Amino acid sequence: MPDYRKRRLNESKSSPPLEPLRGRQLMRRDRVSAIHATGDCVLSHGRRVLASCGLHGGRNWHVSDAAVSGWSHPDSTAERVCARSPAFTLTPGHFVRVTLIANPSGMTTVMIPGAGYAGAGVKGQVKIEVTYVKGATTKVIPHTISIPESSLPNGAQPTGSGAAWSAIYRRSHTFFPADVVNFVGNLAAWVDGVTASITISYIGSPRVLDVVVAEEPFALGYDVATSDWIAPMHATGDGGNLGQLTGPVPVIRRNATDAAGGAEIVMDAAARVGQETGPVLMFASAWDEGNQNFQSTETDFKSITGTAYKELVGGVAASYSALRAGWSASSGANARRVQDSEATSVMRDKSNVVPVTCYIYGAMSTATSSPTATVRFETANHSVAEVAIPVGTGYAWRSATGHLRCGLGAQDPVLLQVRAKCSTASGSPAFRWRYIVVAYTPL
Amino acid sequence: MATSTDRNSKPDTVFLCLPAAAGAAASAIDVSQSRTNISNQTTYCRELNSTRTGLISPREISIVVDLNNTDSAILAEHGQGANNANFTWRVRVSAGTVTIAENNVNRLLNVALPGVGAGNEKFLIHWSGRTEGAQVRSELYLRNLTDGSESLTFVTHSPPTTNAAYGLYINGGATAPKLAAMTRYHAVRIGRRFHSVAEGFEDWVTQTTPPAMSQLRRAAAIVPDRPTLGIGNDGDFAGPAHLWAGYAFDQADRRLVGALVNLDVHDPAPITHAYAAPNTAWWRTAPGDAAVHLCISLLWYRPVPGKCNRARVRLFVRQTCTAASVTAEVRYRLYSVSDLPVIGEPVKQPKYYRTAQAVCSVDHDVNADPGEWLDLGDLALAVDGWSCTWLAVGVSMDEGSPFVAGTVATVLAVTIDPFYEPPGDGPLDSWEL
Repeated sequence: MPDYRKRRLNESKSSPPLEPLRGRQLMRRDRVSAIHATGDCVLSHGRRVLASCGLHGGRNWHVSDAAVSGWSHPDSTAERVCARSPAFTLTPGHFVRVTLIANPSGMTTVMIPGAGYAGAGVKGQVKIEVTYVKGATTKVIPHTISIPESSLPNGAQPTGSGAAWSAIYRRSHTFFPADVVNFVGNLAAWVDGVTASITISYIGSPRVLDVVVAEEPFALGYDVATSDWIAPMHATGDGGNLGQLTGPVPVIRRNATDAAGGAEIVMDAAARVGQETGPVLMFASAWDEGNQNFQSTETDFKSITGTAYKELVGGVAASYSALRAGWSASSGANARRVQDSEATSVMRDKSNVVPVTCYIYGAMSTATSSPTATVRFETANHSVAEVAIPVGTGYAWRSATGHLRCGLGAQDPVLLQVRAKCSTASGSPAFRWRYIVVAYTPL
Repeated sequence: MATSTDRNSKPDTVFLCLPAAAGAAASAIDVSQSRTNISNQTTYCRELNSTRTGLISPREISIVVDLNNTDSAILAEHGQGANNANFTWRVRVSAGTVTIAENNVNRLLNVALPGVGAGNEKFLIHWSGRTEGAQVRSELYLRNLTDGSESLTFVTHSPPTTNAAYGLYINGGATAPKLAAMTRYHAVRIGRRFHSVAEGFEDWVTQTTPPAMSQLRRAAAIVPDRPTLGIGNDGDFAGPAHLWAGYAFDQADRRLVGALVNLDVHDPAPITHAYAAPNTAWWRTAPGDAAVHLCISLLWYRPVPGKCNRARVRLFVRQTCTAASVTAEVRYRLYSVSDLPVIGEPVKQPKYYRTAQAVCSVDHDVNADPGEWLDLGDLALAVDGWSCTWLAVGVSMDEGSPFVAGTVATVLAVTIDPFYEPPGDGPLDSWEL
């Protein structure tokens, strides 16, 4: 019968303070215990955004308030993908949670064979599908959230001053790959080295203000017989703090079959957690709520043309400029590693660099003249990851690794811009994209 | 021999010379921590059987040298020091083009020196590679240090093989093409770690001056190394292992914090002082300030990372005015609200914080500007029982302005990055709101 340790991450912590460990203090058992307990708490604060979609600054809903006239509203059953991600490795002890806010749903249509499209009632759903992979085991977990219907004629959006603010629904759901809540063995099987890929789809006519899929800290669990823990696991089998170390003197390990409670596990865990980078730095979808074609089953592509670099969202032909719009890379500073960003000699505490894989879900518009494209992810003219887009019109994730400058933290703004160009103007090709992800990668 | 360690001598540096145009004798002096000078051959420098520089991957080579568009030289190599001989790696320049090569003939990249001309100009050649699966990813950064032009090129290739009998050669070799004078060299560094281009930029171009920051910051700590910190043998101390581990945990705290909102808007909603687009249902007044309006289009509900109590907010805005070359003054704030009323849930008393206001009255059409970033400063976070916060952009306009009727504002990008600020530090403590 395996022996497990579990450490809950989703509750507030009152870990023993490390302060007594600082200079000119005698080494004592309670202080060593504090190191073990503190190490367990390092990963308790995840919640990085993995994917999102919604109204997001847009000027209108893609769901009409008008009466049904032919295929004038979204199909009532077709799934329309608005965001998807490649597989990336989750932070140990974290699973995936979706949080959603929305206004009442609108009218839908249905295809009646021989009669064309007709109204199919008011309906709106958001389907989130998370695919967890651990080793050879895959768990696909779909979950559909239904958003209450509009009671207005034609399922229209709320009317009257401020009415949309008075008609907000919120929903949340956490995706567990197995019964990790009740059985620590399942938790141990899925707690570390798990990848997740995410797809968000709309069904019918949801009016989604914001749907966000993020990591959620839950718990760490390890079989005592295994190794390579991310934390010292100074914990009991049901998630509690173990209190003080049992022995009066420091030990290497508790015993030959239990690594916990000793100097080796605390060093190994400290080394590993300092290299942990986490899943996602930035996600973007081309979903454009006000202009999205509701008849499409996937986000309408955005595109650029020409052989000079153009910024992907604005379409402006220009070199990288921190004075233009883009995304923030500042949070990358939180994932700094010693080999890239050490503060005394490597980057001298003036900036940080993070290793990433830059993904873009895209394709060329045509294969005529064999055009290709180059996509650059830039946080400075000298901080670039370059993705090659091959010939072909089939959409796929294309990626490249790189080290991007990310500044010192939230108060040190660093801008990420993504630009692309085609290899030739012959045949008037365009590079089309739907989703962008910058994921941390321990290069 | 120099006795000080230069800032660009790093733990991975195996050779560093900083002749600074002083010629071959200075180029032969190794000012890295290796302190192993190479041989001054008057027109070139070498170290025979240079195993320390016969690196495969990861590896970094930086050369700062004066070049013009007619130079032809092997600037540095690990090889046999002759034109048609073998080498592990080589950096060559010919008629204004830099070639990096490995494995005797394998030319990896040929890249034109940016801005090269007939006269000598100072260039940085920064070539660094790292292992990627069975391959090596090389990054070649060329920068004209005289005029600031630059190029960055990538290639993925097979790793080379090396030969312990090869030597390190700077400026060719006895029979290899070389620059006429070694006074053209300013620096050569070879290291056994991958150096990002950003690091090369900090080392050789200019060092960044970061802004003043009040947030809690963590260092990229050197991680504990178990084999060197054993506590099981006589004479071992238990303290260092635990203290180092404790320090590493401390510095790893809050390392997994990502942006709350990181958005580039495709087709932004227009904002006018009527606050009615596309309809009045989208708009309401802000809590505590009836002059500020919130739009449902600029509302997010986001999970807040534990251990964070603030967020830095920036908006990229664009404003136009049909009646003048300036707009009415548009004031932006960002609100963090907990317990905003939602349908079907018990009503609670909302709690909110907001940033200071950022003001803009620029008509960006006048100079065809794409818009501008506004730094709204730090936002205290009001977090609810779901560990989430509502985030909303608040807008107000100067209703007394003659241009207010023609003013249209759009929000094109929003970045909200959370952080932790220790109590009592910084300008945004709760009692100051």
